[in-house]
Formats: sequence, C-alpha cells, structure tokens
Amino acid sequence: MLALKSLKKSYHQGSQTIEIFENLNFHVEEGQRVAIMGKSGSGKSTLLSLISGIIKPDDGDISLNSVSYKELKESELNDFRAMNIGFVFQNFHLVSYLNALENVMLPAKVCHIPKPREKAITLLESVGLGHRLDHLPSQLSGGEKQRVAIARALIHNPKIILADEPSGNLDDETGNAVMDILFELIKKNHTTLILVTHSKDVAERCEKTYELLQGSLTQC
Amino acid sequence: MLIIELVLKALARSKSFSLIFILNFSLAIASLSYLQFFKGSMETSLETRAKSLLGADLVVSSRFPITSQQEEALKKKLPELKGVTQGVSTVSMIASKTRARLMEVVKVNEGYPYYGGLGFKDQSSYPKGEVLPKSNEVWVYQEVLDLLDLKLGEQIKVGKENFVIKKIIATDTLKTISFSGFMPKIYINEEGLDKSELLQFGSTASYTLNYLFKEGLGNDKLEEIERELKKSIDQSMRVLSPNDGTDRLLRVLNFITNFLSLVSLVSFFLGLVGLIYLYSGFLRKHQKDITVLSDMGLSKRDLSMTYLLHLFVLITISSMIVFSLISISAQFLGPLIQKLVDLDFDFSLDYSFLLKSSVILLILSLSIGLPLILPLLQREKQHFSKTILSFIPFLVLLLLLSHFVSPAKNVGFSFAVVMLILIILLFVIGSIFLKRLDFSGHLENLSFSLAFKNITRQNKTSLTLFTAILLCTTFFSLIPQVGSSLSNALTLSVDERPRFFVIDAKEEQIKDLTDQVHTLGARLENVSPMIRARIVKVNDADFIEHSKNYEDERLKNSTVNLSYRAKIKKSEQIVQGREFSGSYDSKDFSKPIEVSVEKRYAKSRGIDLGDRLVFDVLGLELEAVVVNIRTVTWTEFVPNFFLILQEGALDDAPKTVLATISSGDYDAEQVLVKLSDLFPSLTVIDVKNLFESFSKLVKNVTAITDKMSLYSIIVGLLMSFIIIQYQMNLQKNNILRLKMIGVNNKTIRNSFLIEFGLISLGASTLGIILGSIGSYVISSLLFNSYWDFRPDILLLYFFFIPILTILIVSFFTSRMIHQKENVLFGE
Repeated sequence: MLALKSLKKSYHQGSQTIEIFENLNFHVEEGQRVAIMGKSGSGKSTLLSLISGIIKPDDGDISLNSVSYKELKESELNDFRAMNIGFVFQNFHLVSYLNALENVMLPAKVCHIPKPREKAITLLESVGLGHRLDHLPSQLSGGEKQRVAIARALIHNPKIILADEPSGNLDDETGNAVMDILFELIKKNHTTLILVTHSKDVAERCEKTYELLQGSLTQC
Repeated sequence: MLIIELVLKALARSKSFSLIFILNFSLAIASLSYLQFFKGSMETSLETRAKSLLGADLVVSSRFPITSQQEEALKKKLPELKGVTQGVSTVSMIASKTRARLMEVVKVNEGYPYYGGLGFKDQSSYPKGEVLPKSNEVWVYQEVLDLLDLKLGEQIKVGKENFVIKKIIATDTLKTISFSGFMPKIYINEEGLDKSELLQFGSTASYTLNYLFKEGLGNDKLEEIERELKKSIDQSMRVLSPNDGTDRLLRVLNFITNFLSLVSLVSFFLGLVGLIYLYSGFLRKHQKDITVLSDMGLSKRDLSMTYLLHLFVLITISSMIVFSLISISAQFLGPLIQKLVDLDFDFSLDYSFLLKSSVILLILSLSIGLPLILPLLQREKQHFSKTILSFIPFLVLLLLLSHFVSPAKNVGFSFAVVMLILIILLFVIGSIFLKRLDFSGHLENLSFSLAFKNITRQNKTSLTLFTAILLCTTFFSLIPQVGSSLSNALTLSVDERPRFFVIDAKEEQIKDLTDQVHTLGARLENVSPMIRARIVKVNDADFIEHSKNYEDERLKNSTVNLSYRAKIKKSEQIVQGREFSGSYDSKDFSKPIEVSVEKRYAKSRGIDLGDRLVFDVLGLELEAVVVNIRTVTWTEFVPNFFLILQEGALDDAPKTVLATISSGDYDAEQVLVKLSDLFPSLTVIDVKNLFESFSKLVKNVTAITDKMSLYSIIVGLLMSFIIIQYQMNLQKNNILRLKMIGVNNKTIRNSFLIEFGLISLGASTLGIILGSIGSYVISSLLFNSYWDFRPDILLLYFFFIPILTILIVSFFTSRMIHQKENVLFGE
C-alpha cells in the first residue's frame, strides 16, 4: 500500500551535507498500524514529510496505493495528499479562527465530499464533542483539540493517517483516552496508520514498531 | 549593563523591524514636528503682521483733535512708552491741472509706522531707509497718478499748495487702516499739511495717537490693554489693538495652521496605532525570549526596563532623524512658504521644542510600552477591558498633546475627543455588526468562507484596519473637496466677478453711467440704492438698551445702510419667512414696511422673524416688520446689504447708489479714466488685483492642504499595511495548517485578498461618503453652498485604495504562501 524504495535524502547546512537517508526501504500494508520510534534528530519528521509528499527525496521513489509520487506534478501531488492522507499533530494545528465544526468540515470541503456538515457533526459526536461544535480552538482543552484534530483527519476517509506524537502534549489519562478514540476510529474505517511516538506504551498498540536509527528503519 | 546589552542585541538582530518602526514613526511625527518646530516663528510672524496692519502696539483715534490733557490722561493708563506719534488724515478734493478727485491726505510722521511701512516703486522703503518727504513733496499711490493723469515729478495741488510727487507707493501695510475706506492716499509731512491749510476749524478728519510700548507685548496682552482703556476713556475716542485687524491673509493663515495641525494630528494618531501594532508584534515574536530570560532569573523590573528602553531608543532615533531633516530643510522652507503665502517669515528654529519633545517622547514610550510589556511578564492572558484600561494614560497623553499642538483654543482637544468618540462608536457598532454576521459552517466558496471567518472572528484587527482606512479616506476625500470648494467660492469664474466697484453715485447719474459703461464695452450691474439710517427700536425696546447685552462694540453701532428691492436676489436664499408681498403702498407710513434681514446679522443682534424695527431715516421714524431671514452669498463680491426693505417705501429718500462694472475684454484703464472725467464725484475702485492676489493665495493654500492630505493618506496606508503584515504574520501557522489539509495556494491567497479587499473597499467607500458629506456640510456652512463635488478624485480613491491594498496583500501572501508546511511536524 505504502512503499518507500531506495530513498535518499540529505540536507545542506552551510558547506556541510547532512545525510538523513541513504537507502531507505519501507513497506506498509493497507489497514496496518505502524509505530515509528527514534531519538530526536533521527529523521522522523523528515520521514513524515517525505511520506506526505511535502518534500521530495533526492533519489528513490514513494508510492501510495500504487501511485508513484514521481509521476505526479506538484499540484497533483497536493491534491493527492489532500484526498489520501490525514494528519494528526502533537500541537493539534487546528485553524485558529475556525470553530470545531468548521475545522472538521474543511478537508471534506477540499475533497468535495457531499454533506460535509452532517459528516462532521457525526464524527465530532463520535469523539464526544457533539456539544462543542461552535467552540473555537482557544475555547477547547488540549484533549478536546486533539479529538477535533482526529475527526478532521478522518472526515474525508483518507487511505493513511500520519500521526506525529498525538499524545505528546497531553497528560497520560487524556493521552490514553485520545489514543483510544484514534485507534477505534482507524479500526472502524480500516485506515492505515503511521504513528511517530516516543512512548513504548503507545507503540505497543500498533501491529508493528520500527526504530529509526542512522537512516534505517529496524523492526523492533 | 545587562539591560543595555540586551537592548543593543534586540536592535542588532531585528534590523528590518527597526527600519519599519523608524520609518513609520518618523512619518507619523514629521508633520506635527514641522508645525511645532516653526510654531514660534509662525506666531511671531503672524503677530508682527497684525501689528504692521495697525502700525503700532495701540492706536487711539478720534474725529476731533486730541488735547494734551487727554493725551496725558491716556499716558497714565498705559504701560511705559517707547514712542508715540500723532497722526492726522483727512479727505479732500485733490487736483491736477486737468482733473480733480476726492482723496485721502495722510500726515506722515518720523519713525511711524513702528511696524510695517511703505514700499515704493523704486524699491526704497519707509521708515526703514527713506527720509520724510520735504515740505513741498508728497508720496502718492499709483491710482492718484492714474486718476489725475499725472506722472512722477509733476505737481499736484493739495489744498492751497502745489506739491511735487516725489515717490510712488507700491505697498502700504496701513492700507486697511484707512479713514476713507477706499480712497487713494497721499502722504504729506506735517509742515506740508499746515501749508495746505486743509485742517481748518470744523474740517472732517481723523486724529490718532499711535503708541509703541517699551516692553514687547503680545497681541493678546495688547487686546487686554485695549479693553481696559475702552472702559475709562471718552466715548468719542476709539481704541484699536493689532487683533482688531481683519486681514484676509491672517485669517487664511490661521485657518491653514489650524487645519494643518489637525491633519498632522490624524497622521500622528494613525502612526501611533501603527507603532502599537508593530511593537506588540515584536513583543509577541519575542515572547519566548522573555519567558526564558524570566526563567533565568531576570527580574520583571529589568525585563520591563529592557523593552521600554528598546522602545525609547527606537522612538528617539526616529525623532532625531525628523529633527535633523527639519534643521536641514529650514533654510529652504522659509523662502518657499514666504513665496506661497506672501508673508515675511523669520524662520528661526525653536530649539526648546527639542527638550519638550524628548520629555513627551519619554512619557509616550512609557504609556505605550508598559501596557504592551506588562501583560507578557504576567504570563497570563489579560482581559480585553483590562487592556483598554491600561491604555488610558496613553489616551490622556494624546488628548493633552492634541490640545497643545493646535493653535486655536480647544480645537485640537475637541477634535481628538470627537475622533476618539467616533472610533469607540465605530468599534462598538462594528463589533455588534460582525457578531451578528457570524455563523457556524462554511460557505460554498471556500475562499469567501475563510475570508468571512477571518473578518468576523478577528474583529479587533478587522475594525482597526477598517478604522485606519476609513479615517484616511475620509480626510483624503474631505480635504481636496473643501479646498476645491474654498478655492471655487473665492475665485469662481473671474469673468462673473466685477472689475470695478462704483460707489457714491447719484441716482440721476445711473442712466448716463449705464450708457457710458455700455459704450466702453462693459455692463453696469448690481445697481443698489443705499440709504443711511439708524435703528432706533427693536420690538419697542430702545436699541441702545437692547445692545447693552452685547460686549462687541460693533454690535452697539445703530447706524445701518438700508437698501430696497422688489424681490430677493437669486443668489440669496430665504431661510425663514416669505418673499416681499409686493411694492409698499401706504403713503402715510401707517403700515409697517417689510424688511428682509441677513441671517448672521439677525442672529448676532437677536432679531427674529416677525420682529418690529424702527429706523430713523433723516429724522423720519419708520416702522418695519421682519418678513424674512435670508442668507447672502458674500463671496460674490457684489453689493450686499444686511437690511433690505421692500420697494416703494424709501424710493424718494436721499440716497447714494452702489453698482459694479462687469469684467470683460475691454481697456480697464480707459474705463477708469473716462468715467473719472465724465463723473468727477464718482469713486470707481478697481477690484481686480484684490481678487487676483487673494485667489492666488487661496490656490496656494489649497495646494498646501492638498499635499498635506496626500501625506496623511500615505501615513494612513502605511499604517494599514503594517497592520496587514502583522495580521498575516499571525496567520502564518494557519496558512501552513490550511496547506497541510490540502487547501490550495490559490484558495488561501484569494481568501486574504477577499478579506482585506472587502475591508478596504468597505472602509474607503464609507470614507468617501463621509468625506463628501463632511465637505458638503463645511462648504455649505462656510462658503454658502459653493460645494465642489469631485467625482474624479473620489473615483480614483475608490479604486486606488482597494487595488493598492490587494497588491500589498498579494505581495505579503506570495512571500508566506510558499513556505513548506513540513515545519508543523516534530514541534
């Protein structure tokens, strides 16, 4: 379903070249839940940026659902990402001037999904926020924000969810509750999950766990 | 030491912020500083001008010779004198070999006038330079030569003596202080005047005592002395101080300085809003640094000091740049303004302003800085009402500044209060309106939807931007329209303006005069009878009793000029009452005569519609009833009267006639000479130069105010763009979030264009409407409906401001929109 083949990526810092990935190969099956762990600076964010198509590899190819990113123009890649990938971030990243309902409706509007309002309400109700539809992000707690973000990530039925430390900014109890919701909805929708986390407990919820070390992914 | 180090680092590491801040604040204070810097010189120049119109610090005049006892009594009531001269002027028939005319003969004294003087055609001047004319010499106006067909060096007969014309007077600062009003003047020395024997017992003359005080007193102080003196001197004497001078130039200059100070205040206010936005943006950006420094143990006091000092340094640098520019440009500005407004400016820089400004700037830094910095140090979100309260010292400072920068009493303060009330109203109404507009969900068009949400939910920013653009567009559309209306009112169709005023014509001369003027290629127009009368009673109350309520001496004068007409003129407008009912038909005056009263005259003397007035016309008491109150277009420059009676009542009364001669393509000099020959008793005044010089001045003033309005809009727009940039910087993360979700760049860009375009379009449309209404009201009040609507300018602004906003937003958006959204990962 998701395949990273012979991926090469480096950054330039002044005259120095920092190699992140030299020959990364990685494969995820449809509906699979995969956790990626690794130290700070190991390249986890770069990996998520590459999978989401925001940055391009220096060499190699990425394909999702048998569609090679190489074959797509930038605008096509953006549309492809909008349709097929959902994101959940550590810092929630809700659009600050849109309320919970509007934030969740947004990907559905972008993907021209019919009845976005109804779907958003159903999803928000399913994450327990049916009573917070008109609240702005500034009026929500951390856990509530993350639940809105999960609903937003799932509304357009993406093939894959990229979750970057989704419980990183939450206390244990809230974090666990949020992760319960995430996993429940993913299972229900049969969505693939790539989860970046520092928490072994969270990683253990996934079917496979990889560690990113010196540019390679090693299954734990 | 650490504080200074931190300030220096903040300055060095935020170069682009510092530059924008300095540019914004320099522009904000430039016009205000220029005005304040030169205020001292302007005031001195205007005071000197007022004094030169009078020629002295104080003048006491009388129709009778002032006795030495009276002079001595006056001296005791006055401050210590540096000089005093006795002036005399009289009106007499002056003759050449071929012609004779009524002219004013003025005795010229050594050293007088103390201020101003005479300028001669040969470039010499008096009293600085030229010595007094000899006992057989006179100095004359050019008109004297024209009217009597004489040349320089020829002889002129004044009274019983012949005098040589020694000098031709080109300019005379005492022109407005004239015994006769309009007559051309001849200056003669004391011995010459005695020789002429013009001043015989019973001659009509004006005798003056012109005082110069030892201590240089201001005009307001002199006015105080004048008021005190009036209370204790003989009623036959008049006292004049420089403030009594009613010079057009002074009024125009007072208008322009008041006006410019208000426009400068607007630029200053807008600039300050920009400054607050900029600095709060800077602090927000450095919030993390503040937290880190605080955690490292830097006290709140030191942190506050650091950022206050940083703000003060930026404000000081901006001020130093502006002050330096003022000092450098002063040498060029003086002659330029002198040329524009025809006033001798002694451009000296008022350096005490620097000291005052530094103190004000320090307080300003504190009043702006503290409310911005302190909430950040508290690390908790402050309630909006508390934020507003914390800015109260700043608002008080603004009001005080406004009060002191405007030359006219209370104008600046009232203006600032009105502006603040308007802004508060706009915010309150705007907030309610935006709240009502808001709804949950998205519109079909995502760009519109995002724009709409931003406008309604970032309402403080939307309203600030709206207010800024509204204010500058209002001023931008108001100022040129008022200027244009003023210019039009005063210069409107020079062809329609008369070229000559004819005064003292006799009724029986009018037919011949009309024919002669027609033969010369012109038209005799606005023929108006004038009858001297006195108001005896107002509603059965004696007029003298009635006028005791008035402090102004002019209102106590019961002498009036009456005229009569069948109908009110087209240019006049009845604001209350009705037209005349027709010709007066009561032969025994048993019925009151209908009278029309000019609005301002009626208001100042407490005369209302239906009031009964009694006039004394050559001993005959006539009753009149006010049938209408009317407005008069004074700017027409044709004979107008405060009181007009209905036709038929005073037709047989002894009268003189006033008329005008139209402008046209004819030889004006020939008309003047010919009419003088044919009608020797007639006074014909050429008014062309009067209009031309004044309209030139008005045009220059309009040009200055236009440029000032342009300046204010530049500051306003700059500030608006600072707000836009600040707002878009705050939106940086939202842009990335939208991009990450899949909202394409075009939709995001369009949402910003729609958001700021709508605000800009709404504000500029409302600004244009308000500016036009304002200019209409001002024009109607001041220039009697000479409103000059300028659709060309308004249309330009209507398109220009939103398009410029859209271009600026496009520029900012394109810079931000291309940032990669992957920075959202791994924060």
